[in-house]
Amino acid sequence: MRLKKWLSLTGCILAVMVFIFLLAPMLMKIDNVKEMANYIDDNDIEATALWWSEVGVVANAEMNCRNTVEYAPHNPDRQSKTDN
Amino acid sequence: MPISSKSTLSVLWKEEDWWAIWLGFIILIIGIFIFFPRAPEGMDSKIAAANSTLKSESKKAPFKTVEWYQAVDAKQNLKATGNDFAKSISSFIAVPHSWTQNPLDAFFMTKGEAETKKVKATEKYNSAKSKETEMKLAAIASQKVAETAVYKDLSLNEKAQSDILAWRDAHKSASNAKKKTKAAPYNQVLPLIGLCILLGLFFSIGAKFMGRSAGRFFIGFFFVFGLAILAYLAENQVTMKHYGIGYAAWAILFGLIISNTIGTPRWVMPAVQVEYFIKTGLVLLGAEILFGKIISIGIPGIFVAWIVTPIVLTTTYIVGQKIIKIPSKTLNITISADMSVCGVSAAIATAAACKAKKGELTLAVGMSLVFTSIMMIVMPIIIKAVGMPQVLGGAWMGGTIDSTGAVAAAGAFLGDKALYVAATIKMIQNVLIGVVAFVVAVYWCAKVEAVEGQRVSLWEIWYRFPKFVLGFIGASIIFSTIYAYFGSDVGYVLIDHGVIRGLTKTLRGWFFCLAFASIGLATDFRELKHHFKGGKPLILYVFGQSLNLCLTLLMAYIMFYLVFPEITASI
Repeated sequence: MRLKKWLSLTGCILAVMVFIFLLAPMLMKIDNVKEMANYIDDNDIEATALWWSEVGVVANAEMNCRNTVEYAPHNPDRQSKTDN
Repeated sequence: MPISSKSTLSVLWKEEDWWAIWLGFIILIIGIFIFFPRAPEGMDSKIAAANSTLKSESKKAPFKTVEWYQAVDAKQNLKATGNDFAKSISSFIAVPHSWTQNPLDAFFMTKGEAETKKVKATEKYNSAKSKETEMKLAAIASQKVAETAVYKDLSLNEKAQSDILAWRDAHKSASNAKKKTKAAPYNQVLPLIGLCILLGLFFSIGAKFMGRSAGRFFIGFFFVFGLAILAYLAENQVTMKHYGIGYAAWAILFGLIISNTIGTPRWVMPAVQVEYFIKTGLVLLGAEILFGKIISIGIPGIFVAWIVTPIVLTTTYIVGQKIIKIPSKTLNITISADMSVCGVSAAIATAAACKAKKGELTLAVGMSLVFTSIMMIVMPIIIKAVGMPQVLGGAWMGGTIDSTGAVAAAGAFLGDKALYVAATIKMIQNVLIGVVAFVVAVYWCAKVEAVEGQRVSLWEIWYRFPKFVLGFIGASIIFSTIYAYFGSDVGYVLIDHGVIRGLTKTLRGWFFCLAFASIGLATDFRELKHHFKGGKPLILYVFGQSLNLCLTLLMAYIMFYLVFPEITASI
């Protein structure tokens, strides 16, 4: 019984390793999945993050959006419409 | 038990909820003392100079000029986490590093290996940098030509704008390449042992006051912490990072494997304290809910995130109760919140607020992680295939993909505009987690747990109310107030890139990871099987997510293209 439990544990660990080192990399051969992986690497994105503060690019996004709202470039067309 | 005996002052040091608040606030206060006095040199004058440039540039041209972007970059570079003391803290509490084939790479990097990495990265950086310089010169030249025509020539303006955007792309590549040139040797083993002892002692204090054995808790904590390290190790394997499979999934899985094969050792059980870790983590999470941030980043996003999300949440819950007939209300609300708000973090907060069972939280988190990985890859492909505009696609993904990391990855896949909109909407949606947790806690106390036909007094609601929610909301109110007092720019430096990113987010991650490992260690597979009966949770999730996809797309289109087209044009 004790041996069976330890064998089950070993089997589960092997299954996890097969997934990490064999199955998951195999799926990476699909073009779209590979392309996404490259984007994640190139942009240094924490794809596993659960919350905004765990992702670096979110800070950049927030800063950019905030400044766009606060210091939106002057648009002569919009200006003239508002003036009218 | 009479109410009077339930409400003695001793609950403040005997109950888990209050201990979660005390421990959470101790960390937040430490964070304030570390980061607030360590603002970068000349912060105020640099911010003032950048804002003055932004103001003058915004009046000068009908597009974002080179100087406009440089001023934003100048503000972005100001971080309280940049000083040596903050860096030492970060490396002490850090999780294992990234690795590909050899797990030991997550813990050690020799000087030689770091040097080799640096040389390779420097080569790439130099090439990216020279490309950036070239693009910048072209952008400046085009901008000058447009300026000469007093920005009246539309084609010259468009040319300048497109050259500036091309420079920004090159700038981003150069910045990413530069980060990799900073490879330094590390040995993560000693800090991890130190952190384990420190956190073990930290939580033991509360355990002692709550009448548990501090010694037994401390010993068992080593095992749970070891499992948390393994979970982070699996998360940081490069391929797993690409799929977005994070520590939550691994910690639950590893815990489940142990508890359902050899069984969780008895000496570990005193440290298997799911609620204790989750509630403390949630108090820290409260400090990351900053209302000021979302108010300053745009109305269309607020509409997309704050109108659709509550509609989807309540509809899914009602459908789950009335039509799908989910037997457990707590499972129903946990799945509904998890799917409509922000995935795992919403599931944790809601499950804790309504006192859901461990198996129910596991199920909700599991479904969220699977769907997040699929949506992260499939949604950008669909958006590209149908030629949807980046802003609309970004808003759609930001409102529907559960976790922020996956939203950022899917957004980056489409382009910068999509990334900015998606990340911003997700951030606005993240804020809802506090409101949802509070409303669910009150609703559960006043309605769900009440005897039918009996009126529940306010005092009884207060007694039943999960008190840690007060810490969660309190932390949010206090930090939002400080953020508003500082203003967005200083708040970005001292709170966002100080207390939060320098200390609390990493510790909060550890606490959640410990909680998930504990969930796994305390869960029997058979418990999960029972919830899967008839596939009802899956049907509920698919229904809710389909509704979410339709409503978010519709609302994003209305807000970004019909109601606020000028904001969309300027993003």
